[in-house]
Amino acid sequence: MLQVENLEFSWEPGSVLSYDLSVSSGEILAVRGSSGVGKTTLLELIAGFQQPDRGRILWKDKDLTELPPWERPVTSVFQSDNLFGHLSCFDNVVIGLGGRRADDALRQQINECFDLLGLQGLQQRLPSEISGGQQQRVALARALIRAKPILLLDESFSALDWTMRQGCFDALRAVVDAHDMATLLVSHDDRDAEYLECRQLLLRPPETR
Amino acid sequence: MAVRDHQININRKAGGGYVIIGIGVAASLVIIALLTIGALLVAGDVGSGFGGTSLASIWRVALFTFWQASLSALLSLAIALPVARACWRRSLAWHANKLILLSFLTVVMPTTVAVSGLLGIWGQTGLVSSILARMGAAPLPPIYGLGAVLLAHVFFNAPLMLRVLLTVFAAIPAEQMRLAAQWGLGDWQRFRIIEWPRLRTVIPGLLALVFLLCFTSFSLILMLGGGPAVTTLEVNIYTALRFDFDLRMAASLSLVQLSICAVVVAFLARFGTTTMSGVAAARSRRLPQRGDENPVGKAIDAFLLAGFMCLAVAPVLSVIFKGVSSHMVSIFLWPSFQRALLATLGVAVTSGILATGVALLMAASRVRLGPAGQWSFDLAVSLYLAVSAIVLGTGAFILLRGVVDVFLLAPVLVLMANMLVALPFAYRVVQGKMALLAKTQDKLCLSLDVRGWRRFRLVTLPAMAPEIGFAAGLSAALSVGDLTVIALFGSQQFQTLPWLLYQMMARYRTGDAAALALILLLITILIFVGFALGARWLQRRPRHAAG
Amino acid sequence: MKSILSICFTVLLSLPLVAHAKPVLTVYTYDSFASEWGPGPAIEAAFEEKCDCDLQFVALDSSIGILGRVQLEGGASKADIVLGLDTNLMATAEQTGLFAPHGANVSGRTNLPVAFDDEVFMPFDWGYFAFVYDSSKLRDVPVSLDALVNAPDDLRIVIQDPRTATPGLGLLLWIKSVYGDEAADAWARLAPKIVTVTKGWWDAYSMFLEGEADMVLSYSTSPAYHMIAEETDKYRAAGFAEGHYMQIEVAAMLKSSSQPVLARQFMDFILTEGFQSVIPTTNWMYPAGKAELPAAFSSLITPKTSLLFTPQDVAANKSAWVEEWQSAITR
Repeated sequence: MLQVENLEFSWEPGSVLSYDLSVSSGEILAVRGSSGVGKTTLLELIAGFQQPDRGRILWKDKDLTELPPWERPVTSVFQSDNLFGHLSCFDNVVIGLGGRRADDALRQQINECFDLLGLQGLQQRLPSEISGGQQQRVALARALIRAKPILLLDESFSALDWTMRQGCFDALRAVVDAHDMATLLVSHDDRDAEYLECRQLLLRPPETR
Repeated sequence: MAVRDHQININRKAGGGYVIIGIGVAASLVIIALLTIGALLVAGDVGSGFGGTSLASIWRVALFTFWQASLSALLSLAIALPVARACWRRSLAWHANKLILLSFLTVVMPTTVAVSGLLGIWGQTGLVSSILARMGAAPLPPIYGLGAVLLAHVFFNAPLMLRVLLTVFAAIPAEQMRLAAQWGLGDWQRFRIIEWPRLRTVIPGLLALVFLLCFTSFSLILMLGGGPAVTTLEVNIYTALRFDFDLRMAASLSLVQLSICAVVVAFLARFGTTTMSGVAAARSRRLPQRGDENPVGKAIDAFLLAGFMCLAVAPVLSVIFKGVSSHMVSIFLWPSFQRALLATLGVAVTSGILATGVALLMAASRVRLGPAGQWSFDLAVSLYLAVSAIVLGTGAFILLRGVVDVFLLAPVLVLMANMLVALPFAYRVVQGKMALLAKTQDKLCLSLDVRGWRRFRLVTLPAMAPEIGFAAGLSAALSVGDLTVIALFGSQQFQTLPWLLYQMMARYRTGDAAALALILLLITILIFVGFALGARWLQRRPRHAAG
Repeated sequence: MKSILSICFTVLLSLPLVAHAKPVLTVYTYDSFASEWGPGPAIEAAFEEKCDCDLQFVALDSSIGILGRVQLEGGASKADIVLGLDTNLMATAEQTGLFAPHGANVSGRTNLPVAFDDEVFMPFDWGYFAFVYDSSKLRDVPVSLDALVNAPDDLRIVIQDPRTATPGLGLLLWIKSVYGDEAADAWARLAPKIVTVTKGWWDAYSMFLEGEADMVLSYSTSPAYHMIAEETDKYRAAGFAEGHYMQIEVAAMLKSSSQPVLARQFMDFILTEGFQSVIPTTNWMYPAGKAELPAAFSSLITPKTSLLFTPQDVAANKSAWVEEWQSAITR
């Protein structure tokens, strides 16, 4: 269970964003709200790219708030630029594994994962050689292999057309179910949550204090 | 929906120990510079003190040096900018790079060779004079003096500026050019709205760099100045050190030079960055814009481009023509040539790699520092543009003379001195890209735990390959052409090609000297190209990224 | 293959042992002297035959550089002998206190136009400074220094900087010795004809050879090179009626030498034929001792008067004279 307890953060003095929510393992939470309401900020706080002014982030009762990003059990999938342009899709997955060697077992695992996500045969392609949707799915493949229990998606599929997006959502489901990941998905489109049949969270605008 | 472009702010340094090492290196750079000057001051009683120069004349020389350097920098810009725009307008950016490489060589060639190339075109028996004579007109008058110095400075530095300016133009996003085309913006408006804001960040750094190069210019001054009226601080330092043995005078002049340069660099740094990427401009064609087809504009552009090519490339061609002869073949058979060739290549390649390595380390550390830290780094590195190699060398000599046999250590000292001289250039080439990469890749790398050495090896190196190739090639090429450092430490046992050239020049051997000059030129090109190609190897796709 | 390698290895290892059996005499000199087409190799061979030692030249970039280097190195210098200073540097060199008397007998063995007998400094070659021109191109050749100074301004000459090159200093002293207090005025009249003032001798000479100037300040022996090596006699030196200034090059041994006996032997060797016979066609100067001159040398100019300031005069006045030159020429 991922718990965000009374988290407070301000970009500018006097305007405070506050969050208080929880996500269970295997659950997808769609985070929605108007522009500037702090959806991306929430994900950044959970991932560790920003430090909250107050509050805690807990995963299974373990306090993550003081940990740097690489020590948190989190995988982030950004809106774009998830992949390194000079590495093949296969290498892009492997590089996220903290130095593990690509032995046969791992190679097998990755190939299976690629099959699962509809990326058969793209292992040796460069990101520039595949479509946007495929790129995001490679990022999902990486998340799957990394198998971290928390998955954060920041408008990851917003730039794709609806058909591609549906394909990605199916892939997302497979990934989440494989490891029971607690997943937050930021999106501005109503249809997303509908298709995923998941809980939604509407963020309040920042308070002025 | 827009994501704010903000700095990520984690509670532990994303960087590791390398930042500390980088700071250490920056501090050492400052310490070494000050130590060597200090050594001269302390050992000052060694000199026989012939120099009796008064403060007033030092002030005069400093003022003249400043004036000459500023003019040269501004003139170079005044030429490079219109030519860059002409290149850009005619979508020649990519092809121009090949020609610019050729003219760029004058920056790294030994000045003697480059100036003789210049004289081969503009001298009284040069190409232009011969053409004039054939047309029946009077030949060119002798060109020595301040005018010649300024011209030569422009010839040698405008290509450098041009290269950097072209990268700025190439970096203009296609969208902006599309908007310009759609709105029908005229040439001046495009300049004012689209081009100038980008150029503005680069120009101060470029001016600072060229100013420093011209400020510390000395071989060129001696060759073209025409007499003692045209002199720089560097010339006086050289004279004080080598001919009057007035070490104290040399040290004091060095400090004056250092201070002036530091002030200018610091001042200009407020207006722009110090980067000088200079890496090959993108190959994309520029979208046709309103006014492109204007015949007057076309004629002006053609004139600018052709003129520049003639001016900048001609001296290099002159070196080639003078040097091509049977001497070239016989030279290769001399044992002294072969030894010198090996020494030159060894020192050049090593100092190229070292300079680039240190530059990368410092650029990587710089990213993690605050503005004050970044500014100090830039200054520490730029210091070596203002400290002359001869002061460094003599200072090192004094520091080491009791401790170790300097002759044995000569190759190492030459290597270190060459590396220090090349460092400011390598740093400028890699720093900008490094900062950009850090910004765009930080979040991804941090979230995947790709940090430290692993990040450098797997992510940064391949992405920086072109810059690394250029930086290393440039540093190595500068070392190939160096004549000042080797003059201090060369000996029968350890010679480089420029020193061989220098010796031959003093022995009536014109044919051999010209041939060797050409060989030097070819080696410089080879090294440049070699490193550029070698850098591609950095981009090779690893079988797997793990490990 | 392995055995061949091990033999080579053993031989290579033992070579230094063999080589080190002989004492080493280190001579600091300027680079063109020690280079493979200078006098160095022949002199080394000749001396090593007589001394059973290993003569090693250390080439430095100029004669002034030699003095500077030994001064920088101080007592720890490994030089036994410096070779290549000239009379203008002698006083300075003496003041450093680094040099020892050579103990050789000089009288009767020298062939110099002026008397020269110094305990510490041994002359090894000499020459006259002269302006060299291309006789196929220049018609009105000045016959005296005064004629040069007063020549029409379209005569283009190139000279060297007296602060950085010995010929440049030579010309300064030449004009000073001919004109005395009027020297500044003479320079002012000469200035419009000067195309440029170069840092080194070769910079000026190559400019002349490429046609950038009509006359170049060089040595009276320069034409000999062209006659012998290039078989052309179109390059000549202009003989001036007032006389020519001389350059005498000297050698000295260091007090701190670790091989004083060998060093003294070498100093004595300098005036012998073994050394002197090499000089004319490798260093292109007149030998200081008695030696045969090549035929081409007979067609060189022979000035009636040889001008030379004493080393003490030069040392005392050089900076003042150089400053006078600087202001005269920049007016």
